[in-house]
Amino acid sequence: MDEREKDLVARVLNGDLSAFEPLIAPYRKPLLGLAYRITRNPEDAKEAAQEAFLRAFKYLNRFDADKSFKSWIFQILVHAARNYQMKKQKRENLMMSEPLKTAALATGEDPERRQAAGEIRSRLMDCLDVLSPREREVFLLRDIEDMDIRETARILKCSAISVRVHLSAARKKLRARIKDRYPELLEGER
Amino acid sequence: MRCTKAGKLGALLAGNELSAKKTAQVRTHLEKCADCRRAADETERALKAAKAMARAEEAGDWTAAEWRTLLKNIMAEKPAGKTVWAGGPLKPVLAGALALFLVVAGGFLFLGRSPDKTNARNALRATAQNSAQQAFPSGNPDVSSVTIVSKKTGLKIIWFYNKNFEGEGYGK
Repeated sequence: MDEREKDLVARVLNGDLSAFEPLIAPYRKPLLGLAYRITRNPEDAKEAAQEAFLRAFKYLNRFDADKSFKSWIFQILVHAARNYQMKKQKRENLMMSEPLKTAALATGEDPERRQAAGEIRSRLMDCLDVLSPREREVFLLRDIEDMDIRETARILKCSAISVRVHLSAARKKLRARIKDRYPELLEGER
Repeated sequence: MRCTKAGKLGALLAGNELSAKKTAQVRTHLEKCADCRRAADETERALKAAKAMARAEEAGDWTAAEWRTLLKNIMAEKPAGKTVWAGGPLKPVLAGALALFLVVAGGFLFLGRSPDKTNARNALRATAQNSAQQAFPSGNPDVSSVTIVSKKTGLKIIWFYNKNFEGEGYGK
């Protein structure tokens, strides 16, 4: 953890609550992005990310300053998103399945840009759809958020071997889906 | 190395997650096996494509108003930090009272001297003595007894034995 973050954490713990916003601001978009890719729903993503920030604030005294704040807050988010999804699933089962919202997060006013972003998003989501929840979490943390294997294992509270196994399976499934539905993406990379 | 194993490890080759030894083994296999080589190549390109899509995707953000509300909600929570005792000077008094309570309660539990138990034990002893007097009015120092009490009905059966452990009577 860098000195700036250490200082901000210490300030919050000493009662300077204004230091919390600069502490979490760098993770505002990455966390929301990850939450969206895990929950596949913009509203749920915002709820999960808000829950993660709230828990981080509430339990900041439990954070080990010798470890990475990024890993810690991502860990909170992954669990918050997972819990949120489970609760939602239960609720939906009780209410005989409310249709899944597919509206995207706001991406500005330009319609062309919005359309292009929507297309990319739907492709990515389509690819992520083939993965199991654990494979998706491993893939997002390792390949999209660029966390290393050990960090990913720590965040998901599993072994490095488990991460490797799920990562290998996720990449194979992803390859099959892209090859099947978007072969031009593989051609373009040649 | 078999193709199945090479397929699993080949997916990890794309992210450089294998040890030098494993990497060499997989590469050796890939040199010999065209199918596995193609699969590994496709995995690498698929991974690059997925990463590119993720970079291009705008995951969105909170509006300024939403962010302000979020921070307000967070600040309304109990702040982080060490838990501070709010009882002030009452703290040692309460701690003392709690310690005293624990010692007394612990003593009762440990020694089994609860008033109910003691009364029950005394009552049982008196019943046994009465029964012994009825069975052996003249008294007999060599007699011992076994008392059986039914938990359900409360029925008490007391067996008396002489010094040779032969049943000599009972009371109830």
